[in-house]
Amino acid sequence: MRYRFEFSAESQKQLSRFPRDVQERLARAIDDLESKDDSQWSNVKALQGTAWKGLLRKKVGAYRIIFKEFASRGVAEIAAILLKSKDTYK
Amino acid sequence: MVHSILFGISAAKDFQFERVAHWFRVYPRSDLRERRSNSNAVPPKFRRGRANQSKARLKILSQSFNGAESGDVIPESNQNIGTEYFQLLKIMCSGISLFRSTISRWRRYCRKRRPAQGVDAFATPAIVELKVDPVFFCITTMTVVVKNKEPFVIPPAARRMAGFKRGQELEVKASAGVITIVAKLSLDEQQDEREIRDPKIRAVIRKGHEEFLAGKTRPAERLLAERNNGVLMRPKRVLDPDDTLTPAEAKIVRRGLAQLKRGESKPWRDVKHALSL
Repeated sequence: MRYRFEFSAESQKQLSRFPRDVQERLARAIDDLESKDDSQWSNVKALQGTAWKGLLRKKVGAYRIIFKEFASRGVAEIAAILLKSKDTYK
Repeated sequence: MVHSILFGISAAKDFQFERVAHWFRVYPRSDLRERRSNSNAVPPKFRRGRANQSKARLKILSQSFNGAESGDVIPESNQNIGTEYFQLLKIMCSGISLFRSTISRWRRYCRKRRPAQGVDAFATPAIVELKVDPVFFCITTMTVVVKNKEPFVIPPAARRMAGFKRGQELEVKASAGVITIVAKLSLDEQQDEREIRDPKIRAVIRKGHEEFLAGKTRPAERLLAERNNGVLMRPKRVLDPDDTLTPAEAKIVRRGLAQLKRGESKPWRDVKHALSL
């Protein structure tokens, strides 16, 4: 199933703060997600933990796009775009 | 005077004990010197024959798994000996100076060379006492002169008798007037030594073997299945850091989710246009 992607205000703000080359890279990744069936998505995994049930992450280099899919509406909503920090691997 | 040396050998069949008795010939020193002068590769004490010169006697001290009772004296035999017993004899003879690893070596030999002949290499070894007359016993004393310039050399004959091989690790212990050189034990040999010396471990092995002979066995799959029923400790699951969120990241994601829940979202096309991507 293909999904239409929507951004939260928070994720849009984060995307606008990234450097231009990163923005383009992330844009290509989201376009790729939109153009493909969800079974063909790459680097997409479910987040671990009961609090994050239903949330998925797409790895784009050092960045992670956190989103949730709604199959009934055919929409995937991006909650946040995170940059790996020093704390990520602690 | 009779000298006693304790040996450990694997629980083998009775006829092997007899053959061991036959093989353990003890030659007079004069005969040993004569044979050594012929520069044979095989030490003369390992050669077959000369049954009439034998002074050796084997006595089982502890019960083995072959029905031999404690205190049985194994009669000597004049049967012809096959070459495979030569290896056993070598192992036992080298065990004179290397008692600790005799059983390990015999077990290794059984595992490698004699799997089809019914020798149980894993059985608890019987303790066999070999009584020999020290006058005729073929361990000879050798004299080495210590020189200033050259390192101390152990005579090749002594090395051969001790069964030391090339590349083998040795433990050298020195005290006043005595230097002891003992073959370093491998992990397997250390375990075997513990089995020999520790009566508790010996009892457990004996009991296990008796149960095995009595048919009290079960398939490995069943054992593993039983272990899975709560007893087995499972390793802690390792999480991929990419799949988890730090508290700071969790805060950002929660904020985004709350916005989405309130319906504050924009289509990707609009965002792209706004950022002119």
